[in-house]
Amino acid sequence: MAGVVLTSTADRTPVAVLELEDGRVLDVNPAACRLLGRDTGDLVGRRLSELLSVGSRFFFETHCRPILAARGEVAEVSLEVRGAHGRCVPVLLYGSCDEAGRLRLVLVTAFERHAHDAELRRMRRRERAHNDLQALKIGRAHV
Amino acid sequence: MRTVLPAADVLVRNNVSVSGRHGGRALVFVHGFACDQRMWRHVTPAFAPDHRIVLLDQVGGGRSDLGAYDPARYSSLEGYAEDLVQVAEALDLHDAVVVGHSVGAAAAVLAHLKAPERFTALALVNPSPRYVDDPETGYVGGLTPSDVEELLATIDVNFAGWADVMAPVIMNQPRHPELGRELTDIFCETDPDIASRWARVSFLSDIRELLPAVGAPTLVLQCADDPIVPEEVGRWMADRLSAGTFVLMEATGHCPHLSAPGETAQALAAFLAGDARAA
Repeated sequence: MAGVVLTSTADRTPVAVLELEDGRVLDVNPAACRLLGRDTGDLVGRRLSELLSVGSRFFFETHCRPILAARGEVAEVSLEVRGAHGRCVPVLLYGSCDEAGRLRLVLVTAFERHAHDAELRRMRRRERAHNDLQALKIGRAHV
Repeated sequence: MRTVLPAADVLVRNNVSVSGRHGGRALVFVHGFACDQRMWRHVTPAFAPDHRIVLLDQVGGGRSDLGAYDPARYSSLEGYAEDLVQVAEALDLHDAVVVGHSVGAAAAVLAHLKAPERFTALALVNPSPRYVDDPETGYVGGLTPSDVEELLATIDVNFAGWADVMAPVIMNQPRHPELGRELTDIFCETDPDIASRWARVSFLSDIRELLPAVGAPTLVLQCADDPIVPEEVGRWMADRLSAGTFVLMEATGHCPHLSAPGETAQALAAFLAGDARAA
């Protein structure tokens, strides 16, 4: 049964699994089709960059690719994919890359985490603006 | 105002390393947003026999001195470019070639304009003079303003975990020793506040109007199918340089020095040979 069990697991698992070669989709599981709102035939051959939002594409290419090349894996990357009807869906991405450059990705939807992150980010931005203002005031006081 | 720093301080600040042939023409490699000099590790060996190899980490990246990060100095690419000039001064470089990737290429252009006698040729790998579209002039950089906001949010969220990753490393007690994460494996990670500011400076930069002032021979090396910089941007940029050469690679993606180091080194070597013949 070795090999068959996991293949069947990938077919039934609720998380999206994609395999890519040379930057293009080679195979996907049914959960990936549901997440991305496209059937297998429509996904195979597509570039990863077409499946990500623009900001996520920039982040993946400038940040995740070098890490994948150096370390062979990335984990818990918070991104957005283009889902059904062009709607952006927040996901956590886990990926590994082998010597031949073949990329295996797992995408898990992360709606709650996304909302939480957005709130944290608002708080940090406020704090940073406050600190910058304080620094400016101190700077002025020394002039 | 120029700040005068002792050479040793500059070299520590930017974690400068020098190797290769003493007396050979210097190649100064400049990495892009949030990464470090290890991005060039597969390209530099080809040049070590004939060239002096200068590698550095831009402040905020790799093993640069994070204590030297001054939000005012690095609020535009000028600060990063000034650092490159200071490195060249500290090493007393003349007639060097500056090789910059992505936004590191924009800093390289500025550094050349500040010190044209020190940086006499430029090799720009997947550069962009401006990432954001400019509807007024019809320029298409690839990003809309709302894309930029989304990108900055993505960067903020993903760098937020940096302290969690770094704390056990600094304490030399890996939380997940089975992953073998040593200090050397911390790559393309940095302080979340620095990453956020650096991203803003990088992806909102605009050096378009400076391009005609660049007189030095300049290679614009562009990947096919770059998901970040449209091919037309590379061509557009090369057209505006008085001595620009556009080369489209077979390699795809945004980081050919990682994905196709051989082709990258070959293109760079051809450019250097042509420049040496012209000199």
